[in-house]
Amino acid sequence: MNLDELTPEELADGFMIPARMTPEQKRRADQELAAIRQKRFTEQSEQDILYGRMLQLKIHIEDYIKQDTFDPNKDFSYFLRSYIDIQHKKKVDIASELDIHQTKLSQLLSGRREPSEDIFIRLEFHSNQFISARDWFRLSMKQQEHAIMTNASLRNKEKKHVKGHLNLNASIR
Amino acid sequence: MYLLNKGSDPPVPVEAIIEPVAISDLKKLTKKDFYFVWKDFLETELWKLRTTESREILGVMSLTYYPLEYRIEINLIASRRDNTGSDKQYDRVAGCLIGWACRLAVKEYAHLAGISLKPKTRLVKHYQEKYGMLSGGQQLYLDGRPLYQLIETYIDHEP
Repeated sequence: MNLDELTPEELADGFMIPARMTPEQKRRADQELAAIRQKRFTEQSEQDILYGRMLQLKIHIEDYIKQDTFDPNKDFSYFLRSYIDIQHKKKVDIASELDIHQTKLSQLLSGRREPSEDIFIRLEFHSNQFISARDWFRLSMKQQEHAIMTNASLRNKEKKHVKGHLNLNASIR
Repeated sequence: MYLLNKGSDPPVPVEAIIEPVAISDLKKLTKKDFYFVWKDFLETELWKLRTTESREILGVMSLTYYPLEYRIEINLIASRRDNTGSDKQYDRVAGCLIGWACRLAVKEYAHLAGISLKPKTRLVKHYQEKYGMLSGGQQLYLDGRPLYQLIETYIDHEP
């Protein structure tokens, strides 16, 4: 079907067709929009800002989970730190809200302690179910998966415990 | 993210995915199927939409980032020719692509994120009604709550 055969509603359903503008018209239109948005920025509430920043974090977590590669700089503690920083709260307050000892929170933030199921679930409720326990869990699993596959000393140590193995035909592997 | 398959009665949701356009996709983005010369948009960021069940591209979108203004401009969106008009099989193609642009903007610019477009005058009212677009002078835009709402409606919502 040609575009001129479509109704405006049908076009809006499947297309975004730009108006023709000269570079000068475009420059003025962009300036006009920038001024309107600048005013809106100043009118944003603390709640709006928090929502936008939390949504950004949620998207970063979702995309990182889907990513095939592991980034050692983006472990569970990295995202937990971001979650806390966005709220501009003290660690002692967050620890209290999550009902965990401050030392435990510090260990989670430094990566010296692996998070457990209760932490994933408490974080979900703390975010008012905005970031799911499943996503926190998957972040942690990504880290563990990487460790299992790359920790050479652990692999060598565990290999010695295996007293037998399957004898599969190498030609079809 | 899902499209609605109107080929079924009642329409059924079908899982969809949006991915970057690869060089190998360009030969499929013909003017015959997608109305425009997409090779002319190679300097912009190109995204394609398809169902997870098929490799066939159903929609394409061109974006340009304006980091100093914390916004992404939608240059062009087109559906595949055989999925247009009242007989089209899949609904929500443009909505999902616009929602994706909103998501990219939040990923980049957080609470300052915005998207904009400069549609033909006769379509302005329809984008405002269908997607809640706001008037920004000579162009339409979304930011703040209406932008988050569009992400919820077209990207995060599960049928």
